[in-house]
Amino acid sequence: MLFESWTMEWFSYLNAAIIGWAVLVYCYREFVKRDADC
Amino acid sequence: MENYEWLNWTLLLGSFGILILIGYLSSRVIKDSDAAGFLVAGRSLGPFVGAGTIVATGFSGWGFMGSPGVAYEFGSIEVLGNFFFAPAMVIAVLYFANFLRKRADELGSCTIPEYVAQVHGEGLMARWVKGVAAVITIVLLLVFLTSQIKAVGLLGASWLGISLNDSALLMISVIILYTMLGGLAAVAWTDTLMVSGMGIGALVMMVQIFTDISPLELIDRLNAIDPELLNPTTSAPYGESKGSVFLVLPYAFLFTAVLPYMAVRFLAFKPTVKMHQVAIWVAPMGCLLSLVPIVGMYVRVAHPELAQADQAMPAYLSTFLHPALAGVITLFILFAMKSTANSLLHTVSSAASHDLRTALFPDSKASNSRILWINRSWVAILGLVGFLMMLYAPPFMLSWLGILGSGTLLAVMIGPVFISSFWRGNSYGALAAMLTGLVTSGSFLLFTQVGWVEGPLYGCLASSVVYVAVSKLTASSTATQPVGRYRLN
Repeated sequence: MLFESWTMEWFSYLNAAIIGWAVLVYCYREFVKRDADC
Repeated sequence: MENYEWLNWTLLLGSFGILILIGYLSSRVIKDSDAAGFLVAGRSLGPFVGAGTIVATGFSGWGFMGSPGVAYEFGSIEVLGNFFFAPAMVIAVLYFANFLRKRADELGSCTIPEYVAQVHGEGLMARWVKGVAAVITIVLLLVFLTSQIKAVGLLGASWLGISLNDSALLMISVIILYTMLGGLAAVAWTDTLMVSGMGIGALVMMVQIFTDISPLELIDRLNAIDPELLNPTTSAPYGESKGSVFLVLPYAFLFTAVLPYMAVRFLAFKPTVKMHQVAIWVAPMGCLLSLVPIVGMYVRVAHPELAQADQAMPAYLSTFLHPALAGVITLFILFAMKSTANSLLHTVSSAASHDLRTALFPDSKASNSRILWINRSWVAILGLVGFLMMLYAPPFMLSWLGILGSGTLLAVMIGPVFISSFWRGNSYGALAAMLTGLVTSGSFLLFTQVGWVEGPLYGCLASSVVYVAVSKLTASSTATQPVGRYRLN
């Protein structure tokens, strides 16, 4: 179990999920959708 | 530390200069504009500034001073609980902000009390709804503003070596000045500057902590002190059951979506801004600031003999950072408090100068320049009222005052602002819901020992039920609206 702590486990996974989502959306808007719009 | 007081004064006066300059520059946005210029920044906010002001306002001084103290005492449950504000803000921006912005734009609403009134009808009853919403907003947010002025005054006093009253007067004067100059544009732009400082502060603290001790070592040493610090069997201080901490997520969502001083930001975006562009910025900013309570766990490991948990952040700054760096970080913590205080001041003054004025004098034909003068005057008046309240109010716990103001306002507004987005009631339901939320949440917080999340959530539940029940009971056959449909007034 990550960090042997359920609170830190939730904290880490949720943080990673939100940052991951932001990066994915940013990359999609910058590199995929913009190319498609051109 | 005394040798560094000159540096602290230089930092403070330099930051004041920049904040006032931003206020002056943003005053151009509202020059020659109608009331929307002052109240919603002329609907001019882009994704970055919009995200900056949402995050800066949502993360008050609590995140930097109160939360590390709770993490010192209760451990990682506070790190998780405080973190939920980040996803909650992202969800509110993604799934509620656009609806509120479009609906307010259709109705021509410039404030949340005005939106509440216009959504629920027109004429005399709408004026009653707007007036009551404005008065409750002014009263409750003045309580919150008082706590923020005191917090910023206390920190500034120890940082600058002056008295609490002098420090509080100095800070609130500058906030009044730039808010008067530029209205919400000044508040949003200064918030964005300040959230950048807050982010840098969070980053510096994390670098210092994790170059001194690895995450795994921090975990091991906390476990050695007390395993409950990492694997709590309850969610104390959030509640008795292990899952209570997850209630912070819906609480923080409603906090962002419903509270007038948060939700008014959604009305201020440029019409062309897409909300996912805003959320992309809110996510990293929120996640970065949510790391700050880790300071409390670090101090527990490195400095376990503190007399009071609340001293975790001051002890960290004085023990583990160079005094010059500690001075800079203290400035950023002051930023966290000021960025909330300026938003509160702008919202209470808007409620008085716009909502209450138009509720009492609906046929007023004041010119734009006169309305701007009225708006600016109320910023000064209510800023000074907040300062006087701080001087003469009983010495309540600062965080509790903040919860009393914001949590109770949450219960007041949930029906008319949030429930109305998918089931529209009428003016009677809105009035009854606001009063029920006020009494229920206020009573729980004032007269019982329930947790600070639970009291407002019980108030939200009661307010929502009353909103629907009273709307149904008082609906005439002609006024009944189908679920999810709106009638433009």
